Amino acid sequence: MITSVLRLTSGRIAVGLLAFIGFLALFGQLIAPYDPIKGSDLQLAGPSGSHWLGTDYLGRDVLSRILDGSALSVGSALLVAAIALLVGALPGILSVYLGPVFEWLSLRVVDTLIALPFLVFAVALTTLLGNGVLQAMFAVGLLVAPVFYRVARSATLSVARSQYVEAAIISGASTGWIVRKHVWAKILPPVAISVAHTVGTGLVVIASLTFLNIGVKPPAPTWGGILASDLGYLGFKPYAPVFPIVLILVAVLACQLLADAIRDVAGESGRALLSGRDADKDRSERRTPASVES
Amino acid sequence: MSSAAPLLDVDGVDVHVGRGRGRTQILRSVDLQVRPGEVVGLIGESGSGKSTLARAVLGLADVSRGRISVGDEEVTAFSGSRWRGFRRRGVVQYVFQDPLRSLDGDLTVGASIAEPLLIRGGVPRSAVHDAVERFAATVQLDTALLDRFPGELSGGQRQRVAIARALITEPRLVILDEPVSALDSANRVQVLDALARLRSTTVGLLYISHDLGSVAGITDRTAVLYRGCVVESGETSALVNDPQHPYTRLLVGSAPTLAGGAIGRAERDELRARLALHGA
Amino acid sequence: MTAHQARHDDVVLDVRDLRIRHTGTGTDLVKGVSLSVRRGRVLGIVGESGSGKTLTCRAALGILPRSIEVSGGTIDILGRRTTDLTKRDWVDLRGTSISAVFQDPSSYLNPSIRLGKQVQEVLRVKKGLSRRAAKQEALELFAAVHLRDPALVYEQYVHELSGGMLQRVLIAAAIALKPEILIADEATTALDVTVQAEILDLLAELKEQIGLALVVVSHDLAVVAQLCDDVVVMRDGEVVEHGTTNEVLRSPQHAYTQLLIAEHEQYGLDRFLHVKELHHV
Repeated sequence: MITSVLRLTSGRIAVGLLAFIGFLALFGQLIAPYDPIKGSDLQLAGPSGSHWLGTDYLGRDVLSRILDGSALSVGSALLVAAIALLVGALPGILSVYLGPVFEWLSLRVVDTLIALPFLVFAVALTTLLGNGVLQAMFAVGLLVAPVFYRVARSATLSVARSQYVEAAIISGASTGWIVRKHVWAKILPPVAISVAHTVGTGLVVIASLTFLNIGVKPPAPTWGGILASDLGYLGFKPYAPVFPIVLILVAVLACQLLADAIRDVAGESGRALLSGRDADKDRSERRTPASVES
Repeated sequence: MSSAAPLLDVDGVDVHVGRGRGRTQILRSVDLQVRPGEVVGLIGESGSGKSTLARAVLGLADVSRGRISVGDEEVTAFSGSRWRGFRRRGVVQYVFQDPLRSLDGDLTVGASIAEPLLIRGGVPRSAVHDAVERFAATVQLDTALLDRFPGELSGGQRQRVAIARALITEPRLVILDEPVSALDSANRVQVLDALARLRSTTVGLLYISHDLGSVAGITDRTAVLYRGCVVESGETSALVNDPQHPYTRLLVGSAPTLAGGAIGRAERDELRARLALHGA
Repeated sequence: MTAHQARHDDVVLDVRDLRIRHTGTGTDLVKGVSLSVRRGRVLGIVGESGSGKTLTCRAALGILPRSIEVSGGTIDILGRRTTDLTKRDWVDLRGTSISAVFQDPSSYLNPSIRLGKQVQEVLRVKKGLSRRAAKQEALELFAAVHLRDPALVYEQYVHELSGGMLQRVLIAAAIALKPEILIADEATTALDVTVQAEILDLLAELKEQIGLALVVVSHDLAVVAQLCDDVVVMRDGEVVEHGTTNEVLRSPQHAYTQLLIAEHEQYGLDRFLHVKELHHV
C-alpha cells in the first residue's frame, strides 16, 4: 500500500511532510539551539541571526520551544490513534467473529460513547483522571474509538458476507484463513484512512487543549501553548502566531492528504487509477521524443 | 453408467428457515440423484427453493428432515469440523451465478483459482502452479490472464475462472447455480462449451437454473422444482417434449423459442388458471 | 392518397440514419441506425449491451443522459420531427404518443408511496382528471393488465409485489394515456420464465385490443421471435440485419445473427422441440 501511495504526487507530498514532522518530533529536542524554558533579557525580539524565529515575552527562543514541543504534539496525536485502534478497530473486527453476545455488548458500548458530547466529555475526563496530557489523550482516544469500531466492523462485515468468502468456506477454509487472505486486505485501507484522519484530529485537539492550558503544566512548551502566549502579545509581535499556526496547519494538512491518497489507491478503483496513469504515461512517451521538455 | 452408485443422493429432504412464528418451509420431501458422469438439471423459478437445495448439499443450510449423501458419506450427519475436513478434500464444489461477486476483486485470477488447493494445504507451490495452468487450459482460459484481476476480465472469462476454481480439487460433484444467467450471448456459449467438455469425465454436474433453454441444451435428466416440491423429473428430452405436470407444461410452453411458442396463449392462460397463478 | 402515402402514414416511429455520441470523449455510440415501426405491428430490436439499442430508444423518448447527444440523423414520432420539439413539446408527447417500460420495475417506482397513487398521479397531471375519476381509471387499468385484485394492489407498496406484478403496474401507467407507441426495453429480462411469458402475452393482447405499435428490445432473439413481426439486429451501434421475423430467422445474412441462432439451436429448447404446430403469438 505504501508503494502505491508514493506513486501519487499527493502521496509523496504527504509522506514527505509527515516525515519532516516526524523528524522534528524525534530529534527536535536534540537540535534545539537553546534551552526552551530558560528565559533571557532579550524579550519579544524579532527574528534574527541568533534567534531564527525571535523570542517570546520571557526571552525564550521561540524556535527551540517549537522544536521541543513537537514530540509532545506528535506523540499525543499518535497516542490517540493507537488507543482508538486498540479500543475501537480491534473489537470491531472481533464483533463479527466472536458471537452474538460480544457483538451486542460491543455495539451498545460504542453507541453510548457516540452519544456523549465530545469536547465536554474530554474536559470532564481529564478533570476526573488528573490534569495530564496522557489522561487527556486517553479520553480523546476513547471518544474517537467508535469511529474505528464502525469502520472496521462494516468493512469486516461486507467481506464476511461476500460470496468469495462463501466460496472459500465451501472449499473448507477456517476463519483464520479468511481473515488472513480476504478480510485483512479489505479493512486495511479504511482503517488506515481513519488513522490518518485521527492523527490530524488529534493534533488539533492537543493544540486546542494546550491552547486552553488544559492537560499541561507550564512552563513546558507546546504548540498550542506557544500560540496562546503569542496571541497575548499580538500588539508587540503581530507576525508571531504565524509560526505555530503554520506548523499545525501543515501537519494536519499532511495527514488529510495522506488519507486521501490512501483512499485513491485502495482497492479496484485504485488499481484502475494507477494503471490508467501508467497507460497515459506510455502513450505520451511514445508520442513525444525524450528530448522534448514537457 | 446408470448402474453406478449415485454421487449425490437427496432423500426426502425438508428444509425450514426462521424460528417460531416466522418459520417457513422452503423444501418439501425433495428427492434427487446425480450419478457419475451425469448432468442433472434442476429447474425452478424464484421462490422454488433451488438455491436452498444447493446450500443444503453444501452444508450451508440445515436439513430438518431426510438425508443427503455424497458418495457413501451421509453429510447431513456431519458436525462442523467434519464438514471442514470433507470440504478440504474437495469432493463437492460450487459455481456461483455472478462471477463478479464470487471472485475476490483484490486477488489475481490465478490466486483465486489456486485457493481451494492452498486451503487444502500440503501441496508444494510448483504443483499448485501447474494445477492452476492445467485447469485454466481445461476451461480455455489464456494463461496470460492469470495475473490479472477479475475487474479486468469479461463476464465469460470470469465465469470460466470460477469454473476452473471449482475444478482444481478434482471434485466428484460440481453444483452450478445459474452459471450463464448473468452473461451475454457470446460469453454464454463459451461457458456452456466449457461445461459440455466436462461431460466426458466421471464428474457429476448439478445444473440449477430457471432458464429451460440452457438446461435442456446440456442436461441428461432434469427435475422440476415448484414451491419447494419436485413436481416432475425424468429424461430431459421426455420432459420437454411430453411434460405431464401442469407446471412443467406451463414452463415448457412459456420458454421462448425461435420456432415460436410450443403452446398458444390460450393454453398458457388455462394452465395458469389451473395453478392459480394468474395475475400473481 | 397514393398507396405509397398510405403506407407512409402508417409509420408511427421513423428513425433515419441516427447517430449518437458521447460529448465528453467524442466516441460514436450509435453509428447510423435506421428503423421504422408501423401502426399495429411489433418491431423487435435484438442486441447485447453496448449495441446501442437502449440509446436508440432513449433518443426516441428524448431522455438521453446528460453527456450523450444525438449528433446526426432524424427521428419522426407520428410524423413530427424530434429536432423541432421543445422541452415542453417532449413533456406533452411522452405518455400520450410514445411510452416505455424498462428492465427493473422496482427502480421506476417510489417505494414509499402506494402504487395506486402513483398511477393516479399520472392521470391527474396529464389528463387533468379529478382524484376520484383518476382512481377509477387507474383501477380499470389495473384490471386491463390482469392484476388479480386491482383494489388491493392499489393500496399496496412496491415491496409487497413480485417483479411480474410490478411490471404490470408499470405497463398500466405506460398505457394510461393511450399512447400509440410502447417501447419495452428488456422489460422481461429480470423476470422468471413463466412470468416473462405472461408479460409478453399481455403486451400482445394490448396490441390487439388498443392497437399499440410495440417495440420489443431484448438480447434474446427468442423473446423477439415470440412476439415480433419485424426484427432489427444491432451490434456495436449499427444495424447488422433487418427484415421480417421469418426472413431473419430462416435466412440470416450476417454472421452475428447466425451466431445468435446457432446458440439457440445448440443450447436452447429449439434442439428438442418437435412442435406439432407453431404458435406465433
